[in-house]
Amino acid sequence: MSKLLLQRLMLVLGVIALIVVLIDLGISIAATIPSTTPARVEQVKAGPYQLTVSLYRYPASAGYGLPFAVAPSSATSGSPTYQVYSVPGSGVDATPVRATFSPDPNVHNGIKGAAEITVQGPWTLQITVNGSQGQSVAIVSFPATTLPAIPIWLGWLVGFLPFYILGGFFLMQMSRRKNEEANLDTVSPHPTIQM
Amino acid sequence: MAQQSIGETRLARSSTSHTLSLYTVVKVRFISALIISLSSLICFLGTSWDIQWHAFVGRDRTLIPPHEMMLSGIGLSGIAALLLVVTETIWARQNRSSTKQVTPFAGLFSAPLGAYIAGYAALNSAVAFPLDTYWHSLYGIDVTLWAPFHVMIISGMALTGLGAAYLFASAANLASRIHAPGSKRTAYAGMVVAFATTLSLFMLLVFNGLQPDYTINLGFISLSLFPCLIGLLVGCILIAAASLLPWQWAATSVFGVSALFVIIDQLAIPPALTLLMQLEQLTFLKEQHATPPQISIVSVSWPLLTIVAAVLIDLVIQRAKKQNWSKRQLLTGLVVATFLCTIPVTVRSPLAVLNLISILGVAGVILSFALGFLGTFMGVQLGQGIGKTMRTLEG
Repeated sequence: MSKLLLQRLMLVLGVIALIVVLIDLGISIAATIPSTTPARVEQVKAGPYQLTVSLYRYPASAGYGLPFAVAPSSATSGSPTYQVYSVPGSGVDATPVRATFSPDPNVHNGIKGAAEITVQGPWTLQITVNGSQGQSVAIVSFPATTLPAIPIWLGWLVGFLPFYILGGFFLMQMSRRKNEEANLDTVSPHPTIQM
Repeated sequence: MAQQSIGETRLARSSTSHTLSLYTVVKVRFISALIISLSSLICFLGTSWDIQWHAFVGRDRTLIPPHEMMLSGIGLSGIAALLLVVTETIWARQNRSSTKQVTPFAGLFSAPLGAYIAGYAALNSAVAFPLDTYWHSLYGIDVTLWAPFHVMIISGMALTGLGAAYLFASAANLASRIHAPGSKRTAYAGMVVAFATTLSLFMLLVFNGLQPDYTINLGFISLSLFPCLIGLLVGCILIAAASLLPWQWAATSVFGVSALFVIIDQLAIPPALTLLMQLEQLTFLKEQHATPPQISIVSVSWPLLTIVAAVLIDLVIQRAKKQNWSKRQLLTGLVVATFLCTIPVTVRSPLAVLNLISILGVAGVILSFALGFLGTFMGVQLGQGIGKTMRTLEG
């Protein structure tokens, strides 16, 4: 393969990689934006508070945010405050993550936000409500899935990519330098020794 | 006669304007290399913060502040490299006589080699980031530094630093050509910083080699990759710096700047973690610590004998120059000097070598150090090669 062809191939790969990065960035941002209709709606009780919890992706996508909305089903006195965590189920190697949310402008005392789901498997959304009738917790269970698994050896093969390129680069540099030194030798019979 | 005189004046003006243009090119390369080096430093501190976060809090969101810091560094270095490639390509098209000062790529671009290296390295890390999120989503969060896409991210960030070193070398060679000794000296100083960021970032991948869980089991014997990896790394980076920079203490300077980064790390990371914990209302992992940690994992895991190796490398080179050593004598001296850093001594575990013996047995340790010698030999040769290439790069 000629040098120019190799460079053009690298250029094409670079452009594809850049496009992939930008697409993934777009998907990550889009994942946190709720769609118009929820994928699942659950009626749950947090002690005295009746809540409607909307999940905008079901099952959730591991590695991305899960958009959700919480609305009180019945009229509540005062303004309740919320705390929402995504909590991994048993056997899921993950830590609880605090969800980010803001008041829902369309629902009185409601909130909407996104909960990060890091690993595939069973998860729960743990919603703590603190209102005039005290503090209570509601739990909503949901599964999280991800793309099909690639073999671990393939992961390593891809992960070492920079080292293949680096190795190839150093080999090319060494062969170029040897050629240059050989050319110098033909010009000067006593080449100077450098570090 | 008059015509010739006018012609000469035109030639002189053109030559002066070309020199001025080259001076601008030196400046542009220097600034780009500086931005890329600082981006690599941001990546190093972000990664250290992330290591601390994983150890004491556990991995939670993808976009936690340490990840954002790393992504900022990657993005900044990628954009700086891309801008330099575009700027220099335009400049090279306007100055046809500039072919020696640039490296052509794919028949479309003409820019310094370091810009391509830094650009591709940044892109590599950027691609590895979503792949790492995918890997975590499959296999859980309790993944160590030696996971496929961690290796890809960190090595990419380290290579942006190497790209910056190539850029500084290119700026120094160009400055030498246009007789600008001040710019040349500044570029050399920048090179020390760039080499130090590369060393520091790659060093993050070396630590795990000392962990008992990361020994290579061959069935009849187990061995540690730590001596091989550190010999390869230190040999490559410090020898490249020492054989390139015209200073007596070049390798020691690179280690010194790297040590400065570690000190900054120790001063900044533990309070940053505590502050962020309070802001994010998170708690420390119960099995780890109930109180905020006062140490940075990276700083206490730093292999301390690298300083001895760095000083010895400089001394060997000084002696070789004074006594006119042969190439073989020099190579032997440098390998022996560098090999010293393969003995594991850290603040966290000053007697790590004894731990290695208890884990691997005497035979395993001997084999690990034999592998370390091989890695050191390759690293020194690679370092000498990089030094030679950089010395004549795009000058």
